[in-house]
Amino acid sequence: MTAVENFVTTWLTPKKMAVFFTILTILYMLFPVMLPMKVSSWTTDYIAEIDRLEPGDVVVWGHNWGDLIPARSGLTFNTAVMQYLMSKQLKIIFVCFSPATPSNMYTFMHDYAKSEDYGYVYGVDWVVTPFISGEESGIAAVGDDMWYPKVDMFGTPISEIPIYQDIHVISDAQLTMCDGGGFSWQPMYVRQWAIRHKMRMVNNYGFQVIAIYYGIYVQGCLDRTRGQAEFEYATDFQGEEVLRFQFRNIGASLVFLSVALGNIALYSKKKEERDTVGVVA
Amino acid sequence: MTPFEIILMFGGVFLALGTFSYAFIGETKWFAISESIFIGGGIAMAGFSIIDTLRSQLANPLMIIPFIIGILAYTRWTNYRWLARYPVSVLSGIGLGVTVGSTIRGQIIAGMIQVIQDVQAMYPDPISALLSLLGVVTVLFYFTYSEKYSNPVHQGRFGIIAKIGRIFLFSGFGYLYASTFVAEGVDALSTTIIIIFLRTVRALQGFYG
Repeated sequence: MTAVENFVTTWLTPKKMAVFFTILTILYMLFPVMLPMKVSSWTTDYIAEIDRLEPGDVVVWGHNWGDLIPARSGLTFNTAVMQYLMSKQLKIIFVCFSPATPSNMYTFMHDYAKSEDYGYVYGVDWVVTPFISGEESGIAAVGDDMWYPKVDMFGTPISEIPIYQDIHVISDAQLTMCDGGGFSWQPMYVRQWAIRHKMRMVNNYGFQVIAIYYGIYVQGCLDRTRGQAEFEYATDFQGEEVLRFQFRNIGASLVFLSVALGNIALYSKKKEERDTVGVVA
Repeated sequence: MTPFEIILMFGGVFLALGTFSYAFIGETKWFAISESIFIGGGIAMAGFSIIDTLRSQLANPLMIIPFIIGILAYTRWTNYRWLARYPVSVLSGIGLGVTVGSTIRGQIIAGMIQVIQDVQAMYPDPISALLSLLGVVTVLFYFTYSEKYSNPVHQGRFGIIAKIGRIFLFSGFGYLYASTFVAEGVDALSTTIIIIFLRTVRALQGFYG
């Protein structure tokens, strides 16, 4: 057995690897090597789709960020997008399809996107719906009738909310966005809003989920692993995503390293077993 | 940040480290408390949200219909369990009705038109356009399940068609798996480190000026 095989099979345990990877990542966080970044056509399409809108246009943002931890990370990677929308003076309707989403979106606007800094007023420039149940049926219902929830997340009747006065069906808005966890959710938004109502749509989740619709029903996409970082890089609305993207680079490198080490360990073990069988025979 | 918010933030960091500790020191009371608070908090949050929704929607008299259909689902625990078939049927029917039309239009017809148009225009380049056509045709042949009609493309001289289809399929699955793994797995580490360390340090820097 060579020294490398010996090191991998006997000394290197999963726990030691986890500690090593964490230390390496923290070191990288403290001393990041900011590598150059290429902005993909999906991201430039996404930005162009927002730039096409006029001040005062309405964006309907379908959300289903639910649980606490995904919500935390999900909220941060939308911060730059939200601030870019606010810099263009666009109005936002957050439509929520998970029980925890309304409070998440409200927190997002206050704590992350800092809506007050842009002079945004709740009800006039942005609004959050309550939780709408039914998944795809709920998305379809909102597409047909934007007043379907009847009230906003605080129980104020929609008829009294200024932003809703000219928005009755989803096609009264100028752009739809879809976001939130899960492979099944993104096609639901595309089917019910982009296909049924011929709405222009951009996606904040990931290209792999909407690849078959891209260019026909979906006009822009922030591919989750790198799209938000590219967006920050291209628009100069700096959040945490560029830094996280650098982390991902090192993380992905560590994955390849793990695969290589795992293969060495596997074949060493097989070789050892073969040799043992040979000796016994 | 106020001193109270700083205390809350440290509480959050303590709990986050507790969940993260599982990877290093296994299941401990620290991990169990953090996990329970996470699950309990999530359920409580969802519960309040659902109550809010019900409160806003129950004023509509038509809500009695979904309410009855929903209640029927619980008859599974009684001697009248056959009644539970109705909510399942209604859900399946609504699901199919809502999705089928758009699915056929969006995933099948639009995709086929796009491939034909790309091949006609040789977009984005001739090799990519022909590869798309080859992938679409061979994958469609792979998904022929009839013994009578599928055997010729799965076995014998033309068995290569299904094999090529399978290569395209697995290339797609590989990309999907890899991108999901990078998004979920690698991202989890960077997110945790940013939430636990970076934001804490920045918040303290802001607090102490």
